[in-house]
Amino acid sequence: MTAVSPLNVSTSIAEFAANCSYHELPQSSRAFARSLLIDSIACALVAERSDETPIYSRFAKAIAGGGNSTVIGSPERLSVLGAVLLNGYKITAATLNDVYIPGHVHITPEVVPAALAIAEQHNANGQTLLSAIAIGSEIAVRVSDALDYGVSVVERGWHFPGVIGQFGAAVAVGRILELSASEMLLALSLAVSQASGTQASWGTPAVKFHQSRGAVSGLLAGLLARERLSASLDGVTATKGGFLTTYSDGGNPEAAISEMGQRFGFEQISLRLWPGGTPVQPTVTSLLDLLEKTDVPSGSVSRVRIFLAPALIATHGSLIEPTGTFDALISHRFVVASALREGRFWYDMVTPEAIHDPGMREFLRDRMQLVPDPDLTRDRSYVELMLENGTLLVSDVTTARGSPSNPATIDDLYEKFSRCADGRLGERDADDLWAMLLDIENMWDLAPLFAILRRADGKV
Amino acid sequence: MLFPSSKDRRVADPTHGLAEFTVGLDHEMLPLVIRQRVSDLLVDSLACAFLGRREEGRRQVEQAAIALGGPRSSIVIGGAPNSLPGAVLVNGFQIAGSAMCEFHLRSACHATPSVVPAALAIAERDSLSGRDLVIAVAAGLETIARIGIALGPGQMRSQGWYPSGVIGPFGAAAAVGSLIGLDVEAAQNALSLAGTQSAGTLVQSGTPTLTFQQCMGGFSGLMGALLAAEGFRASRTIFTAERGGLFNIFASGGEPQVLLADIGKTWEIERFSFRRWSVPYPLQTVVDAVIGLGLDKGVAIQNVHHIELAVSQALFDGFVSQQWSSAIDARASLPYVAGVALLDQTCGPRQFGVDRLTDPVLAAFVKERVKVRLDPTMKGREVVASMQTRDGHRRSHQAADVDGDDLLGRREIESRFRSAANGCLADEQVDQALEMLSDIWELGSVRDLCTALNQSGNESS
Repeated sequence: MTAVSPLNVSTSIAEFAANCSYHELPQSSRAFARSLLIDSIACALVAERSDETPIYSRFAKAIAGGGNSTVIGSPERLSVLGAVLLNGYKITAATLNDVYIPGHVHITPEVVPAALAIAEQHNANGQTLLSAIAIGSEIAVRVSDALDYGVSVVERGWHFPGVIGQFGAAVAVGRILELSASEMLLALSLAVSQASGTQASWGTPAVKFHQSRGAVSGLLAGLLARERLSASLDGVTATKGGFLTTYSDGGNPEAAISEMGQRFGFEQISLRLWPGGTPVQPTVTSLLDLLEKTDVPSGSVSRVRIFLAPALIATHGSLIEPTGTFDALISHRFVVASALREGRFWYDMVTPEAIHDPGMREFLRDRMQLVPDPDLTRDRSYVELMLENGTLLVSDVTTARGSPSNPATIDDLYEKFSRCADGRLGERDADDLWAMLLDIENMWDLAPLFAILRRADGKV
Repeated sequence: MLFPSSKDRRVADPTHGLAEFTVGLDHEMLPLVIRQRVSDLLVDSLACAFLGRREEGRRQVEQAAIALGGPRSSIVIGGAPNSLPGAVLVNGFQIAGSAMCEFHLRSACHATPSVVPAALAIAERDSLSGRDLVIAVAAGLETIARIGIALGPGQMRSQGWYPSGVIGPFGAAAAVGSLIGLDVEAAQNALSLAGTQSAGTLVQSGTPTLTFQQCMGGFSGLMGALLAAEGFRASRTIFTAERGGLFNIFASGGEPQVLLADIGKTWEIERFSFRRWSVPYPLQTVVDAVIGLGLDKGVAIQNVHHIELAVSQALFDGFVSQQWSSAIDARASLPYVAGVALLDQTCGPRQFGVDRLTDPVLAAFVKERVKVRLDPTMKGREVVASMQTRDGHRRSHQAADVDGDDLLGRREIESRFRSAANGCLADEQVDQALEMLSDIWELGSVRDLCTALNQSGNESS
């Protein structure tokens, strides 16, 4: 590889971010940007599943006030700031949104709300919105790749969504505002100045705040860059106070620009088709694949063994009987037991009654086991079911459906969307919204889309 | 671990103690001398906010703040009202942009750009009393100073962090939390949510984005406090968590135990210095030394052969640039600062206006007749200015570094306020505002003060 001067990294990113046109995006990238948008909207529609969403709604209104911007699932419009804050939170609230596994970072809660709010304000069309989401996500993923995860996250304790995400949001805003390359360079630098969020917040809702806050940081960076607020031209790679130095150990700047414009790394973002933590997704996939192929009568299972990478056992193994919704959603035992009971897994199965059901707790405690398998990586899992009649059923080793190696089909996405829209939108609105999202690249006026999003308030 | 963690040293996280302090702070706990110092800092910061209207970057930040939307119901000093968070951003930028706001040496922080705008906006919104405002500002300033000391600014800066940006959110959260009456648990969440927004690096040195990082402290602290007020939960170990605790992220473990030492009994607020001149804090002594030469006492400028400044390693390394294309560059140029201070016998914002930056006479004087010499025996901000006249006379004047002792008298502060507000407010408004500020402890509603400070649409550009 040709040596790249650090300053060229920042300028190369900025030039690409400003100049890559929608038509230069490969078809797969355009389609994936659409999937990210659909997925984000679906996730936001079920935000009320989270206890903190009403709290956050009150906060967004208190700090930012009313305005003209759409909040997904609410008839009440907020200011641009308020809508970005609240939509960012709503997308991540129910633990159902995307994840870029190499950086363990959620991208859409930062990129999509900022893009939506500015697109609405500036009457952008569907292609502009999609290109903002695609290029914004691409830059976020590339910045993530340029950091050394081991240093940034494992050693120092940064939490990537607020550290990485605002770059993507800044670029997305900049795309819609049609920033020049030199202005985009400022936007990136202004994003550096706002990178925040640490793992001290782990285990509290504040980790989701990081994502919403990252969207706001990107919004501010884009708006200030439009005004040409002067900033360092080498915010990313400068030795003193540059992003890669302060948030890592210098990282790998070349990774941020390697094959830029030829390889679109954001297509490696995973979508979650089921509620729950990222590590449970391969297990659910494996189990539901098995149940689809094999009839397992309810109540016929005497023992369940879940095979996981040893590292996952170390972090998740001690969680046997969940006490609340969040615990339940990251518990392999609970998720598998629930899916086994009904042949599916969704929020209606994560109720306090289900979590505290004595029969369920006995099953979790006495009949389920997590088994370390050194041949497995964190993204692969399988399940072994022992039936009462002595039959042993073993699922295939698989990665999560929705991950790059097992991508979600449009049917998968439709199923997720439909579940999320159920009870939030009337049937006709849900159909119309799906149709608009499928054909969004041909939408020249996004107002009808925003109108439906405002109607998705559960009053159907 | 890259650094030894605070957890390894078994230090309790100070967030709870800090929350107890900020929640419990009331008028009886605040000694008279501290009240007066806070009042002085408040008036000074408002003066700085007027001055900062004219500085580079203000227009851009104001436009971006407007673009955030929301009802424009909060005062912007010297400008048109903006939204609550927008006003916090713009006022913070203006205070910091003046390059004249206070400085707390031991934490290396400017605190008022984060604390005062957030406190003012909430006090205005809720029509709270002047006493409430003073107590809140005291809570915020003391919080920033103590966290800064505990983190260790030298360590932070050597790693590329900008202390005012990183620590600012805590001060604003403490101040807003005090005003909206958070209980200890909520105040703890507010501080934690503020801390998880800590950001800002030295890569922006020499640009107005460094100033932006200061005003973001107010914005982030406001967010933290208002989110906590709704009952949002956050980390109990924002400082000391093994992974992601701020003492481990921004410093090499820091000194957590000093954060709460004698809190409420001894006051770091006493150590905040005022800036007499519109230059970075380390260059205040340069201007003092140059003006102390007494050029106006019988020596014509034409008769100056040269001036020489003997400075410490720190000043020599950081400020000897001979280039300036903007006010920010010029403020960081020791030769320019010395030259313009000598010629103008003052060093306010006007000395960094376009007419001075492009004055060929001044440029030639700086280039040909201002010399800077490293003197390894000098410490900190110590400066000796020497002037050689063409007729062979020589004068010298020394200015030294005194932590927390760079005070302005109330009359000087009010004079600065009056001068800064000139052009933005009518004389009667200035009188009215100063009257309220002179007895802010008894002011019934900060909204009345804001009404007096409102320039009613006569926005200066």
